[in-house]
Amino acid sequence: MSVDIPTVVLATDPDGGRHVLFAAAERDGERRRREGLPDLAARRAPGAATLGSLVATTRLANDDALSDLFAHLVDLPGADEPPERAVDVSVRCVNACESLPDELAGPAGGRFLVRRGSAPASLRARALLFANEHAPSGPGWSTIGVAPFEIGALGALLARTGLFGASARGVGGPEFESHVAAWLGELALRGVPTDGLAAEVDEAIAELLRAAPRADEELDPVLDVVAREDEGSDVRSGAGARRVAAACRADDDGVRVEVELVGATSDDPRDEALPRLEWICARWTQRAVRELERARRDRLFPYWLLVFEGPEGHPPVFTTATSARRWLAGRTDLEAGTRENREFAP
Amino acid sequence: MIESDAKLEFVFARERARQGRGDVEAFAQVRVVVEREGLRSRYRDGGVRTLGEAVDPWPLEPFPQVFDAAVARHAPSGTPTVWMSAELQSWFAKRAPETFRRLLHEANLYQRDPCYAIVREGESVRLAWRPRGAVRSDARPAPLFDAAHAVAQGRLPGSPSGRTPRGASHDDALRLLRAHLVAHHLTHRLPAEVEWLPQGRSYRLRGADRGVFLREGEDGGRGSVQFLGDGFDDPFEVDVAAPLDVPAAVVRRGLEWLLAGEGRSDGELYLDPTAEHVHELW
Repeated sequence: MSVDIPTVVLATDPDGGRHVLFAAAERDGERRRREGLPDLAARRAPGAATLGSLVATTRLANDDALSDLFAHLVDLPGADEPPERAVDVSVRCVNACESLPDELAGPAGGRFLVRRGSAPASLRARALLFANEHAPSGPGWSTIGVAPFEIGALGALLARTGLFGASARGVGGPEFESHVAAWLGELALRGVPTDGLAAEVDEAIAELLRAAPRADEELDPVLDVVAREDEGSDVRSGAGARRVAAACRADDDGVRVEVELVGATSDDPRDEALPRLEWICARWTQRAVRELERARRDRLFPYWLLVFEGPEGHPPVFTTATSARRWLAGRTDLEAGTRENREFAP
Repeated sequence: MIESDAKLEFVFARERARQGRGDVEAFAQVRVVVEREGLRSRYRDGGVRTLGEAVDPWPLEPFPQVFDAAVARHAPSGTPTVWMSAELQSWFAKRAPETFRRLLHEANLYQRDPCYAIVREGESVRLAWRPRGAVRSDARPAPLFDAAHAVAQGRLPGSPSGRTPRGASHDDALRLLRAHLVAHHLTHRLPAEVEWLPQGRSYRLRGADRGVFLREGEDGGRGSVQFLGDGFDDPFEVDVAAPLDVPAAVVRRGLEWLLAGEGRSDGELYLDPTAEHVHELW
């Protein structure tokens, strides 16, 4: 009997499809080892594994595929051992996961008793899940557990500006889309032409995210969240007379992103009165955004965690983007979590 | 000097023997023990010439000369006793038949080390327990070994000819059966190329375009398995039960040996009950 329960960590895509982020089992004796098994293909006969099959196996078509995965994680009983009729296995879902069966049929006449769990504690409310375009379901992102508002808000901002990929779909963040639409509507009411303005806004914010002077290296090492508030940043874009200016300012809750339209004629008194687009989201560091851009292109790891850090009681800061598999493989609370799960076993 | 109360005993080393030439049919490591008035002593024809010979526990002697010389020298009162391991008996029977025939007729032959013997011959494989003492062999039915031997030879076990599918389905079935045997008895884990289908309690080759399924039969696939799907009109049952009352280590080594026997000729494998001492004979 294994020391630890074989564990599979799953994520759900916007269509409700289940994907394996990580799978691990620990075995006794000589064969005792921890296996980060992201893909069955890696253990296939040489030549049989292709990148396509490697990625494809991360998607679980149905419960049978889950049983198939566990069948490969769990030791088969030896001929001289009594058949192990029931094996505890653990399934942990980092975001919403529904309708998992209580029991699955296992090989050698056995069955798997499924213990359900949520994301590891260190991830809850502290990360976003990001799937790049090489994921079977295409690019997408979602919050993990009950995320603070500003984390979801940053996710929405990153998605809107294309940093998650052109067609990334999201789950769990506030609607930045409609927020921008409302703002554009208001401008239109005041007679401001809004053709192409949305794209310019995206561009300005993307620029701001990449180049934000705020909240960077000086924040990073100590995560000194109570940073100098007077330091704003200013990015201007747009051709001709009309310009879209985006700036961000540190706030108690995170960062306040402000986008304003600098009018066509500077002597137009209506300029001053034009409403700003405001959005409060979590802080980020430049390094984290750079890592995210690398993650978007990565072909081997389709699933990424955007990790937020920060001292207790302070707003979280997006500090790093890391491969979900690598992150989960290095986690000890994954095991602690499964033990805690086992206590609920009948 | 000839005494009539001498008892003569030949104790052979477990497995060292080699082919001789001319009059000498074989060389084997043997101790010749003479028991006289309750005293046992080692005897060496021609005496001991060197210190090395004196301390050598298993001198290499020519056969049948050493036997003849010892009998002539000591004129034992009864029939000499010979202790020989099962693998060496088999070796002598094949490579030195004349000596072996004489040992059987002119001596009491005893089995030295209890062991399991697996004999592969053509399409058949036999498992037997060879206990210590008088030479006898208890056959043990081993459907698992039959299956492994058939798989190694590239045929489905126990299939009457013409009933099993030819070609690709046949190959898939063989690959599945081999994977099943290896996974359940040797590695204790499913290989990635085998997909587990919980609904039918069956296995299939992952990504195979033909549908050949191996279904777990009685006792979760330990007793038997069935083939279904393409090329199998009816479920085709294969008995894969491990031999009863045979240590797991022996089953394991035997299975490894049989599965590795692809394309090889007949052979014999001798294993002690712990499968620590294993001797292969071709």
